[in-house]
Amino acid sequence: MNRRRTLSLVALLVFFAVLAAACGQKAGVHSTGLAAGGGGGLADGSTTATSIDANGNIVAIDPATGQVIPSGGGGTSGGTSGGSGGGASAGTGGRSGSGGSTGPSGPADRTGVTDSVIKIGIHAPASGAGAPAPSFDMGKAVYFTFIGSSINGRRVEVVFKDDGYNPSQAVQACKSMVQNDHVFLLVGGAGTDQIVACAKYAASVGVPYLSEGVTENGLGNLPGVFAETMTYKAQGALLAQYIKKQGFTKVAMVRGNTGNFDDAHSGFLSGAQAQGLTMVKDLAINKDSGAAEVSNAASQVCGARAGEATDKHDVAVYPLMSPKLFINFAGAAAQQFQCFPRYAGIGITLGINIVAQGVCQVGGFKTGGTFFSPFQGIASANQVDPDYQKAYQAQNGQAGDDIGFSLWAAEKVIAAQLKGAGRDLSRQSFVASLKGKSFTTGVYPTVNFANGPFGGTATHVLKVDCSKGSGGEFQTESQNNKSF
Amino acid sequence: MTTVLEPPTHDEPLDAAPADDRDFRPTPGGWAARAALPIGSLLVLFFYLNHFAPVRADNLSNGLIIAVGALSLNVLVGYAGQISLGHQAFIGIGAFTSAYVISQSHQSFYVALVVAALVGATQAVILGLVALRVRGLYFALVTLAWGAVSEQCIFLLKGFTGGGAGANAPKPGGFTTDRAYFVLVAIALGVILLIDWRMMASKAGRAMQALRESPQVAANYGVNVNAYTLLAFAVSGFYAGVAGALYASRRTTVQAVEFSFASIALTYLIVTVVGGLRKRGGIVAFAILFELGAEWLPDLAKSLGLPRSFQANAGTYLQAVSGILAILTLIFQPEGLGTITGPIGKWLKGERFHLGHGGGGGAEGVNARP
Amino acid sequence: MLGVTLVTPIILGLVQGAGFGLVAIGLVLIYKSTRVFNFAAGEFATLGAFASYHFSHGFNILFISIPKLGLWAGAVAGIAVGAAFGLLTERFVVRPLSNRPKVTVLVATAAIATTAIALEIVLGATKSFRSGALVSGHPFVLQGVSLLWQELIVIFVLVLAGVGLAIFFGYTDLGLATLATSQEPTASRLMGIRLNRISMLTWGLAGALGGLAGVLLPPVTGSFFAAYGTTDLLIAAFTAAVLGGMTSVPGAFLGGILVGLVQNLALSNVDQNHFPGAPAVAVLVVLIGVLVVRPTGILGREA
Repeated sequence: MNRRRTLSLVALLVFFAVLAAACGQKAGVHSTGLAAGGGGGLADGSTTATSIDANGNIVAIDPATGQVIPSGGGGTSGGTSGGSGGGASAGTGGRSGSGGSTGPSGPADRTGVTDSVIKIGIHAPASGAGAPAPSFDMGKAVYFTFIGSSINGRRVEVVFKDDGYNPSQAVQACKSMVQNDHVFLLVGGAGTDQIVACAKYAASVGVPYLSEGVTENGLGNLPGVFAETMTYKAQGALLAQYIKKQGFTKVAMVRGNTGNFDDAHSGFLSGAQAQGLTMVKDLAINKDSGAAEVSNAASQVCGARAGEATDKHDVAVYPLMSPKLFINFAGAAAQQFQCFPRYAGIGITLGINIVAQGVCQVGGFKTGGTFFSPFQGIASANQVDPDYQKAYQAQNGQAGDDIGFSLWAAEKVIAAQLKGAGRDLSRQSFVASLKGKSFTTGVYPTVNFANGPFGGTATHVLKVDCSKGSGGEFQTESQNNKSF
Repeated sequence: MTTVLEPPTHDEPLDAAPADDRDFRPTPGGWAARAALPIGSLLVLFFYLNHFAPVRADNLSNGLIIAVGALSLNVLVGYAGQISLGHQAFIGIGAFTSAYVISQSHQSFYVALVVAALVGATQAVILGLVALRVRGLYFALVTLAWGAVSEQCIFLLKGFTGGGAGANAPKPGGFTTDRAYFVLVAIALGVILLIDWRMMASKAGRAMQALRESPQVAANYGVNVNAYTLLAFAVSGFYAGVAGALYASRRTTVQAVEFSFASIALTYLIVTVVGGLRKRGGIVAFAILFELGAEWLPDLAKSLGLPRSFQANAGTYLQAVSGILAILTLIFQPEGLGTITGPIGKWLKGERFHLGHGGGGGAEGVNARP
Repeated sequence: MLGVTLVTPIILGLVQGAGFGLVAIGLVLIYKSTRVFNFAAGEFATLGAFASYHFSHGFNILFISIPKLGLWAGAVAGIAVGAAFGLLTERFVVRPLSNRPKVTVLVATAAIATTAIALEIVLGATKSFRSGALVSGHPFVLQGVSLLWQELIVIFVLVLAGVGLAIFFGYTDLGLATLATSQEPTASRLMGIRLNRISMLTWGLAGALGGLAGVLLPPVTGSFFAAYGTTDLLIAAFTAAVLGGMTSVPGAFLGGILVGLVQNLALSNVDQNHFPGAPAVAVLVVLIGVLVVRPTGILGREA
């Protein structure tokens, strides 16, 4: 009996040793795995959805890094050829899928467009990220209501769906907006994984997709997908410049463990290297970390400064994770380790005031926090665009908040783009009209698609002020920065 | 404390009707009515699939996939008397295996389906090896921890699952639309039901049931306890692998966050219990009802003019109601929905039936040894 | 560098482990007296956290409007709500199922957790809440880690609860009666012990302990949210209780600390890029190891 027990224990231990080895090793080769994954993903997309051309420039992937090489606007031309290929084949998703994805040669797909109305769908994390749902509800169509029927005689109707900061919920939301609400195009408000998931779906059924915050990895070659803001990768290089200019020599990065952050990660690493910054800690944590894990992560980042007076703020930390995780992280660092690094990062979700309030409350912004953002702080809204508060007040009977402003800013760009496509509006004509064009609205930095589907050309910088707003607010530090 | 009379816990033999039922034969009109039900259901289904947007077909597919997953859990909890609180590992491993085989090894969906089922069975058997040594409630904990390992380690291995970004599993040729894919899922569910039915009617099925009643007694009767316990795990893992593969291609991209304790392990357990342990019909029926409820409740709330907050939370209310239903089922109606589907099934077969009695068994039999 | 990989995780592990221990004691209490694995325990804590937050900040739900009552009143409310939920669980779920196999009761408690999570989402969406520490600040710094007053309170309460339960089971008639009912229900009833009373007492007490955990732990762990107790505490607490032998209060305490240590040492020393989920794997290995080698737990005998 005893021997059997020992034997089975040994067997179990061997199994777990194998498991551990497998876990370790599989992950160890992740860079090649990822490259293959990227390529596989695209090829799959083309087999799933017949409306995407099988050779829609998928070769533009660097086999070593898995990065998309933006040679000659790979994404854009991919879109064109996708259109010609897809035009002939019937779509996959019923009504919405009919017609080619992007090419002007396919039959015009006017789903969601009537003589007087254009219907669009927006998904964003109204729950899950910690943002208050009423903000999205009240702010979701303020701009479109304000401009009325001025888009070539049509007005825009917005369908908003919460994606819960969860990719599968996002796809479900997008599917429902395409099939039940018959929207003309989809807009991704924030949240990388959700945007990538929805954009893949949108591309597979030939619905144009406009994204407000992005990675290059997942989106670079999906036809009909355009990004209105700078990619994480491009912003990573800018962030390194910014950090250097602020007088820091040491940086650390903490990010959620998702493949969609890989290009943001590599972009910042190479940026930091170019600026001669020392990377003192480069940490990945589980995207859905519990409190214990977050607190441990804080100990590692703060411990990277061991032996120094903890209050000395000589390290800039770049957090790339959900607001909930970031607030917990900064709270643990401040309260458990008396560690107050300067937080400098990129984000739409991290640049909203709910984050400022949360982190201010736990004392995490003692030495300051700055985030890149495509929209300005709410305090400068009146200066940048006096119409916003007027319109918001008129519609909701109260002053508008930053989430409303971010939606306003995004809608202003979208309105300009829809207008630019002309009265004869179809999905194909819309996508074709975006190519090579540039849109300046005064709120978002200029969006320019001359070099492909990533239109962001500059970024604003938001700086936290814990004494403003209701316990913390992001304020505009500088605007339209192309370099630092 | 009073002794409570428990309902009989043995299923009636499938092929031998009790003596007093032998003379019972439905009239020709009765047979016509019996034929009308399945045909009518098919017509309703056809209308449902074609009348509404394809996303409704997609949701219905999900209902059937939940049914396959719940049947997998039923093999462990219902037949073999084991408990699994880590079924997100079972389903998720199947899903990611299938996605890997399709997008990394460039094999067809059908190859991936088979590989996923086999890998699912293998991981279940390994867990079953633990169950041979660690019993009852303690084993429940091991499955819980195994679920946590799958969520936090296995599903995040970038080479295998694409990390948080997810893995791709396109639908197979010929079934690329949501409606066509529903047909494929329905066929798969049919095959699983057939396997399950034949297996339970076989020696292996009876041996597993004997294990549930009492492993000691089963051993005395010459049942190889260890072998049949492992067989139950293998079968359960096999079904779960199929469910995972179907799920992956339904989504076309799967991410780690979709396979969580709350969304899979708890939900499937509740579907299994409310549907009725060892009641295939009840389990499938409740899985579909569960999905349809999640899909239609928001619309219903909207048309009834309920407040927006209720509309937005309809899915959550459904979860609450299911939880309460599960508790009520355990207390008052151990056969779950089997109470309704059982008699319908008998009626269809032209046998005598008793309303409100699914033929015994049900949650009474959740009796893994503590 | 040794500080980051060894000393800091050990301190963190001790502190976090005390939190797991607090939840684990509730599990042990239920198991000792009814032989049930209570999967709703995590939600006892979450509901306690929600109640304490809403009572201390004031709320207005449906027709009920409560003014801002402050942290201490909130703490009392949290414990009371936990206890009430424990009693409801006993009366409407556990008692009707008392003659059933224990796994049936386990499934029922899991269903309670599901229902409770759904209700929490209705009340608080998927937002995360921050509740204030009863005593803020940190009395001293140990190797770069500030020990918060709140953490010291958790350890103190844990020790207090542990000693209290040990005295209850070891030296009071009621405690002995409780133990007796779990081992020989029929004989106990014949001896004049009222089983329902005992059952209510233990579930109410376990609910209160859960509520207490919900009051004390969120300020330490940063925030709480719907399903917080199940996702962040339950697995670790169960592992802790099992490591302690499931029936030993000091064992649960030690088990909690062991789990905290294992998790933190794994986190601090294994790179997530290469090996994600190291703490979960470590916990599984320890759990199976203990169950196979020493099913009675690290402290062995029932105490």
